[in-house]
Amino acid sequence: MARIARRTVLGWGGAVTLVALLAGCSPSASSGGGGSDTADLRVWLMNNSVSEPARDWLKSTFEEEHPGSTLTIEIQQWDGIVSKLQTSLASAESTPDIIEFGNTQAPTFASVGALLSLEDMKEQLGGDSLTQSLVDLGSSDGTMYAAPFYAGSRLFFYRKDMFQAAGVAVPTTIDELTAAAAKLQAANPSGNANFSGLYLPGISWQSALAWQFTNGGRIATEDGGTWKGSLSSPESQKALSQLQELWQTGSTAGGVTDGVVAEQPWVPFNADETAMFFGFNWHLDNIDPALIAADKVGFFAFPGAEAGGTGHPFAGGSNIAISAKSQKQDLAKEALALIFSKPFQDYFATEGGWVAGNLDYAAALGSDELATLTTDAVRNSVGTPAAQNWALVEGARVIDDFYVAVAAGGDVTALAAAADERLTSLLNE
Amino acid sequence: MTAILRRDRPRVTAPRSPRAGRRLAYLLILPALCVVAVGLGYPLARQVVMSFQEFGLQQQFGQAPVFIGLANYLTVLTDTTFWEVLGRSLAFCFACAAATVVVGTAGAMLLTQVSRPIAVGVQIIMLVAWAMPVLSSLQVFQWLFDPRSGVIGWTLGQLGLDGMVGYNWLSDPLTFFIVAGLLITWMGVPLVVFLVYASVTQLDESMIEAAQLDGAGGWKRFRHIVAPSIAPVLLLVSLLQVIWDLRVFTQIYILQQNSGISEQTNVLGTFVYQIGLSGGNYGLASAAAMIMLAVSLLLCWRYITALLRQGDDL
Repeated sequence: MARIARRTVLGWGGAVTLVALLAGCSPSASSGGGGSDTADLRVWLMNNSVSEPARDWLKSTFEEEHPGSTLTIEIQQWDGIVSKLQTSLASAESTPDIIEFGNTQAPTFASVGALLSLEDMKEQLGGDSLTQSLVDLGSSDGTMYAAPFYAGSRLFFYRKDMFQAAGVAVPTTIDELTAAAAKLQAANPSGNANFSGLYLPGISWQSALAWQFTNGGRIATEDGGTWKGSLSSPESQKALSQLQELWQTGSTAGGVTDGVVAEQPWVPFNADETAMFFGFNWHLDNIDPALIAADKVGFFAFPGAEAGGTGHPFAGGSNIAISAKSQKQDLAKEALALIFSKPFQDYFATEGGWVAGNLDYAAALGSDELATLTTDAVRNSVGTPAAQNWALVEGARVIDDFYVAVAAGGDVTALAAAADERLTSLLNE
Repeated sequence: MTAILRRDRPRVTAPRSPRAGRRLAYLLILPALCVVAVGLGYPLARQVVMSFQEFGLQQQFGQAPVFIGLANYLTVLTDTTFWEVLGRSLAFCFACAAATVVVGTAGAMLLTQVSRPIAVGVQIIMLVAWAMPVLSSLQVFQWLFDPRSGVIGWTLGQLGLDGMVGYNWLSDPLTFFIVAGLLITWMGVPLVVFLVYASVTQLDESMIEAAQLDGAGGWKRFRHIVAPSIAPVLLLVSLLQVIWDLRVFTQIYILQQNSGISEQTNVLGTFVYQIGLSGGNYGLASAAAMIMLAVSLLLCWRYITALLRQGDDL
């Protein structure tokens, strides 16, 4: 009896062990999906990117114009999308016909032959009016594979009453911004124990890039097909010392490493814990209506490096493309033309608060200060390096880790040298 | 089982011939074999092949992969990062597995001493904790340790520990792994409790009573009577914990996103994911995964040989 029990346990355990071992090492299964002869276009859009009215408009308009054909929109989650696209774009069976992806992910797919060239319809989509930083990211060797879908860029929200109480004017240069944040933090107009002059989380590398880009620094530069990390360049270094000074004197948020918390800068703003934050125009919806009603909320653009200069923030957004493996590329092109028509493009502004990929349609965002500042920010924006391997850098969280370490007060020269080395090796892999 | 069957059913229809019987047997295990071959065999074989290939994004999009021999293995084995990750993974996995088995066994022994309603109640709570999806538990733990509003930091601060209020637990590798380890142990303990408790309740009461009469205290009874009797179960749960904790992924991956110190907190699972799925270098990732498999096999080698020996005996 005891022997049998022992053997059963061992045998059962052996089976479980084996399964555990094997399961631990098997690559995750690729997502399935059927292609068929019917002209059913499959469009993959990202979660929270295109509003429902816009999706409905696209579907019904396309199906009206192409009787017998259908257009199915499948919403994808951001988390893990690069891996999912790698597996699904690879076969004609599983590929969606039209795909949206994050602008920083675009170079990876543009350069591996996963996408159809859009060069022949570039003029039709908007030509020179397309957001340049997104065109750059969606192009490979001068050919556009992924068109700018929409973009958003950050601007500063500030508390007019706190600025007034601390005797601070709206800054027009980066140095003035640092000084203003420091003065506000020292004055602590709300008397809050954790008060931050400017709420700038250490993990928010996309925000921090504005300092680098405005000073003329880049993350990495290409020379003759070889990429080189550029965080040690004098321009980048200048920006990094400015940021570090800011985190030491004007922002207590450098230690914030929770990505979800960092994406909700309105929380400390509403709680009187900060006098300003660097956020998107649509963050306005989350700001305490009482503050807005009392005219306590103002906006200003990222300041220039020098007086009279222009700020160059990073633009987040999406590109849209047609799969090279799609069996219905002609229909997909017609759908893409619809996406770049005025009615659809206008939805980005009216429903989402985004700047449409074709800047001619940005007017739908309105003509108020917030809309103008946002459109200008997108126009002046700079992107991440248009390197095929950029996804590796994001996957390894090199820039995230780098800025967190800078915010924690590490030595910027040593940190930049180490990060440059990783960038160079990853980008040229 | 077989004895019962034999008694209930006198031999009425013997198989027509031994060969036919064997054919039927093969036919019957065929579906199971197919499932194993498709579900586990194919990915494993594919992984072995890929580990000898240069297989990146270009190959994924149609270029023919090139066999490069052991180059992937050499790259992984000569990478100092890999050895750091391996050391970190092993240390973390043994710490978590040991904590889980000790706490789980202690919990099971405690259950034998309490009244039945309490034992059932505790088991129900454990079952709920065990059935909780990883992501939900992760969220709760992140709230507990949240720098801004987490109750743990606040409590430690109230107890007089300096700097714990508002402390960012995930920003330092040591406290990062404390949080991750607590979560993983918390999630692993219920299963250990169930298995150990189930086997302890099967023990012959008279043995323990006899030991008690001979004057053996609680610890001695456990050490000399209970532990040896349930040794196979303890061995099994320890090995399973080691394997599970060695290939831990989700908990570390999610916590990393909120840490800003990904490079210093990579374990084998996230390391392989980083080079493979986010890095698009499937060949290298396969080689790293094969090495990970070899490490797991080495760790449970004793168990497997014990298993094979048992099989020979009976």
